[in-house]
Amino acid sequence: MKPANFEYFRATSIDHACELLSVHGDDAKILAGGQSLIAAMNYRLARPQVLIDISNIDNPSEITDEINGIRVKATTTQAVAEHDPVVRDRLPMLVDALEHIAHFQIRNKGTVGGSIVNADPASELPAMSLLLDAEYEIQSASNKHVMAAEDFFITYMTTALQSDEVLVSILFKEPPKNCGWALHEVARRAGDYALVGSAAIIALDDDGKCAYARVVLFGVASTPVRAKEVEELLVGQICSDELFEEAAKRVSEVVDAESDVHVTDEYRGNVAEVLTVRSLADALSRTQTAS
Amino acid sequence: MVDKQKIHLTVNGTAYDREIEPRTLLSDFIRHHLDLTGTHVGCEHGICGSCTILMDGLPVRSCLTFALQAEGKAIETIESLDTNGELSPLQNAFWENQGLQCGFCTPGILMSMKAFLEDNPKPTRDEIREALSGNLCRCTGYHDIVDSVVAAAEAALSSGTAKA
Amino acid sequence: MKKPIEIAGVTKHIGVPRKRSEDPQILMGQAKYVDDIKLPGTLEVAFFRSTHAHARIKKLKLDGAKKHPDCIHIFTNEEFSAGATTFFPNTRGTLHPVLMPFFAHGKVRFVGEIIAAVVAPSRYIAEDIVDLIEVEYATLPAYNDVEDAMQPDAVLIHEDLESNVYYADSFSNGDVDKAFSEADLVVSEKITTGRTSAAPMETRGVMATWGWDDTLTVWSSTQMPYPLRTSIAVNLGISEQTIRVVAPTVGGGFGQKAHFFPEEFILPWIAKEIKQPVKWIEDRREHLLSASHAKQCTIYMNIAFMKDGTMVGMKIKNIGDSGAYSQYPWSGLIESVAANNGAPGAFTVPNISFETVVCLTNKMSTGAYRGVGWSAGCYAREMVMTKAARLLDLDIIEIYRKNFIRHDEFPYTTSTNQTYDSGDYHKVLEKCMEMSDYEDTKKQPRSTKDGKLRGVGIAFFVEQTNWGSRSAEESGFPATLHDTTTVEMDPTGKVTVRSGQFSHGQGLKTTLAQVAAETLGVPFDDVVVLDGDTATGAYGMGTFASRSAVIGGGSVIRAATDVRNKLLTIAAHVMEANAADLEIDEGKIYVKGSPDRSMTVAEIAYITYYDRFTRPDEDEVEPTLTATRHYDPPAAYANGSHAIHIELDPQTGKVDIKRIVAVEDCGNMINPKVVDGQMRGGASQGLGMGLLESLDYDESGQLKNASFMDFMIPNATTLPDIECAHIVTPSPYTEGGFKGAGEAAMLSVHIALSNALVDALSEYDGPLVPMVTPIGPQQVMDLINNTNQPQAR
Repeated sequence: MKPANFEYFRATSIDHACELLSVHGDDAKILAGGQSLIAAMNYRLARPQVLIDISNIDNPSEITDEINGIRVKATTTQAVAEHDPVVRDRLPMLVDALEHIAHFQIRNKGTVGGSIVNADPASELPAMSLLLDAEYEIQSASNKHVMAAEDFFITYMTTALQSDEVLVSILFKEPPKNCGWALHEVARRAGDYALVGSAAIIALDDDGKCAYARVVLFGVASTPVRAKEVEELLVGQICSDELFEEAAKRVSEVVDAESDVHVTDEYRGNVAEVLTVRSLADALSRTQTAS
Repeated sequence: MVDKQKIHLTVNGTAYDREIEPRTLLSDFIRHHLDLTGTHVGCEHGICGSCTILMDGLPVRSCLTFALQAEGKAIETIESLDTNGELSPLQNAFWENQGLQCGFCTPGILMSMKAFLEDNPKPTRDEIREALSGNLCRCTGYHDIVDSVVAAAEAALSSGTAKA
Repeated sequence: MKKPIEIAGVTKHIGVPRKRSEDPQILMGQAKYVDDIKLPGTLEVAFFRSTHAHARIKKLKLDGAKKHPDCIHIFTNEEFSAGATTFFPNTRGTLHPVLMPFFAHGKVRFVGEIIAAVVAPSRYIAEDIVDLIEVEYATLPAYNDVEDAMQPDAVLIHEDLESNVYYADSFSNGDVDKAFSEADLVVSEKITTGRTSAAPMETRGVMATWGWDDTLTVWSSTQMPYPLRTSIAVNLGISEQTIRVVAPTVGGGFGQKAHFFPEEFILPWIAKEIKQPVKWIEDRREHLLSASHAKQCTIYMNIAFMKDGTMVGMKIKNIGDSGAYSQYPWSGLIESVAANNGAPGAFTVPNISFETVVCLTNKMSTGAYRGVGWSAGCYAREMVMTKAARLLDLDIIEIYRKNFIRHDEFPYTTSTNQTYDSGDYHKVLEKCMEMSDYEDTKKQPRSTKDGKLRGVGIAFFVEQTNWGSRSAEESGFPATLHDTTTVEMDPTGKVTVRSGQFSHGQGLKTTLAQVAAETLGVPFDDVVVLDGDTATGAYGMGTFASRSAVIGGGSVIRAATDVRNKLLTIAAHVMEANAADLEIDEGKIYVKGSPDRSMTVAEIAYITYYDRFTRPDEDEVEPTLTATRHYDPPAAYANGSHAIHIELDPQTGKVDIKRIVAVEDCGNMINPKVVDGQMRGGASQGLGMGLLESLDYDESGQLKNASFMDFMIPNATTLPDIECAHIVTPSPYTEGGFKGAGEAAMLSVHIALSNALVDALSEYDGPLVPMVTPIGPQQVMDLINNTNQPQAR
């Protein structure tokens, strides 16, 4: 199918993009990598009347080291982020997640920001945002503000971003230096959207007890979800397979899955639990090699 | 009616200036405005990979790119691989190893593998399969394509060139 | 039946795994598929297709669309019906045709059915205009499942029929009831196979132009250019002599493009109406919705066993899901009738009865796709056999060996009256077992050390090949299906093979040239094969049903032999030798034993055309070096075996395929490398059917997965390398001893996969045997969760 017509503007900067958005508002969509948007437009499921292209602003791919994490410009391609030495050094779990996104041809054009704003609950970057306590820098013609990732995802493919706002950059916060991490997902073929996914980070204190735990699930609800109920059972405890299995049962409290052509909601719930146990176990074994 | 917009880009080393509707996909631009029909369209939603071309050296889906997004960029398509009808070592490896049957997916695979081999000159069969996973083929079952890529890698190494 | 010709060639070209001559053009991006062919002034067509699965069209509003400034024409049934007749009747005389109209009128019966055709300067604009068309529908209940559509109170999809079941037939041989009553074990199961699409990478496409000389040229991505030409002539009332159909390079077909679709008639009709070239290129969404579907059957399979594994009887009911129409030309019977007639497979089952029922539903019609009917039918039989094996505490191998037709029993006529020409099933099975380490793997524990379960599965198939008339008839389709080939040598001694066969990936330009080169005794590079264009080929039914090696190759052998004999007769006169003493090899004609007494083929050819003084008297020997011969072969049955190793994650249901072994016996092979390619490609499609592919419709008849995102076909990580081996038992009856090879894997690979799954789960309470395809993680977990035992880990 071919897309419907639209007016096209090439933004020279984010400020320029915001100006254009303030004029065209609800009729306009931001075009970055286009790997989700153009597919939807080719199917005529999306028909924006105006496209504001931000993929060619100055230095679209930019990654900077900050004290508490790494700041990624929203227009950074997934491929650049995946291969960036700073990201590989400080946020290896983000690299792992990026490597799961589709295929390298898609990642050469798809952007970190685009995937986040697309907000597919089965995709990795929104989930990693929750896992890494990300903060989103958001800008409009009249305003700049920062929003925590946990407030950003409203429901399926829907975020708190207003029609005149642009996601500018993402700060992924670095977890404790001695942490271990893991990501597990089930997909029917390499590169497919996850049917279910789970990511975990664990850090131990000097007594070997869990001092820090983050568990995030994707593909199990209308947004990615952080399983605080699971985390609570872990903090302060000695980690073990039994503890993980007990804690993982609590994913049922955050899972609100749907059935689709591939698997049922029950499958998603059951496998979310299984993958959480695996993520926690692998995260734990990675702490032991890290320390 | 939407006004046409100007585009300037380079394809296979030749510069082009055209005026196009903004919604013109890069795949259609290459195939129908420039008459380079070697790049194929198999799905128009970025999954099959038949439309893969190189944009500034990186393999991307031309069906998920508006031509205007390629402004100022250097595009390479399958037509750039041979030299006046002489197959490149990569193309030759596919010929020797029956890495194609109907050939429809082949251009996208060649462009993807060209880039892949430049970054990974000594891939294992599993790494090749992983890299191929973004190009669907319905005819070959992939085995002979993997053989072809292995052969291309070996040919490049033995001839001392990194480029396939 | 004539005895096959003994090919006299000295230098062997047949059997050489040479690389393909068609490849360089494709590799350089120069090969032209339908959408690559440019005619100045071509307009594009987009179809307005039904968005309802079953509805009356109350009102069709075109004014808004017609007002679009770039709208050139909109055609519907109103304009079109004036110029066309109906389709040919189907090949089975007793069958009610249930034909798909070119444009829907009054009623739509599946989502995707054509209601209108918009002609515009570009596809982009045509789609804008399609968006402006409005329809008022009065919806009717839509049927997704044959067993719902068969209910007595079901709404009729075709109101001129009495039921949504438009075909019902039965067959019986032997005493099935007695066999069942005396059996030690009867296993009865209901098996349902998913609906899939061949999904070649190139979708369909048609371009048509009406010439200044009142000729029609049609390009179509088709497997059957000649029959399409004839059908267009008959249906559009245009004389066939003025029609040229060209299948340019075709990007895969797999049987799906061996049909006649409305678009292939509408586009030529429009070209004639408006006297401008028009083109329609199918997009992938249209393709999944409205290119023929395949493989969906509901099969009740009952097999009676003795406790030693002997199969004594089979009782089958196969309900084929025809979709909304009976797809032309094979009809909606193509799955179920073929399946039932091939039900015994490799086995000597003496007592068999089957019922064949074909029922309409509100989906695109079902057509042929590689392994037609047999994929589903064999799966049903084999899953029941696998279950029986587990219940009888036997390996499936033992049931195979017990029931195989033996090597010395060929030619063997099965209980469904199919006559298998040759084979050595035991040998093929052994080979597969040995290559796959089957027995050793079975001795290992099922659990691996990282918590997975390992499994190995094996399957065996007999594939009916070369659909000429006899194979088709043995499958239940009384059709006339011969092809012709013309072989010509020109004055420079070069050879042109004009074929009615046509490649869509099989490398026929290479393989047919190999056959011609060896038969004639000329170098391979001196042969050119022209195919796909009705202006330059020869009349043939097309390439499908694993027929091109035998029928294409066979008719080449016959025609080339005629030319060879003529050449030798002329050479004998010129060289003053006996024709029987002459040999031709690689373009040289020489006296056997005195190779210095020689002339070249080129010299003799030149003399034939241009030197009446040297060639024999033209009243004795016609100075022509051309021959056209037909071939309608006897049926030939290939066979083979697959083994698959898997690892299964019992907590997620994810299956990883670790090894695939494929053994094939397709008689003599023209090009073993090409055969390997067919084995590997077929395995991938078979695994797609077994593991991934299902077109999922909801209750209102909407297709939920009309994109490659959710209709999943295998990618390069879905399957590993496919280790291939060949056993050769030539056909004693076909030219060249060839048998077909294309469909094999689709009769077996998905069975081997399920058997591997059964093996992996063999330590659970069961037996756990899947009775569905495809088997995704959900279906694996469903199998596992039906057990009472705690999960093994």
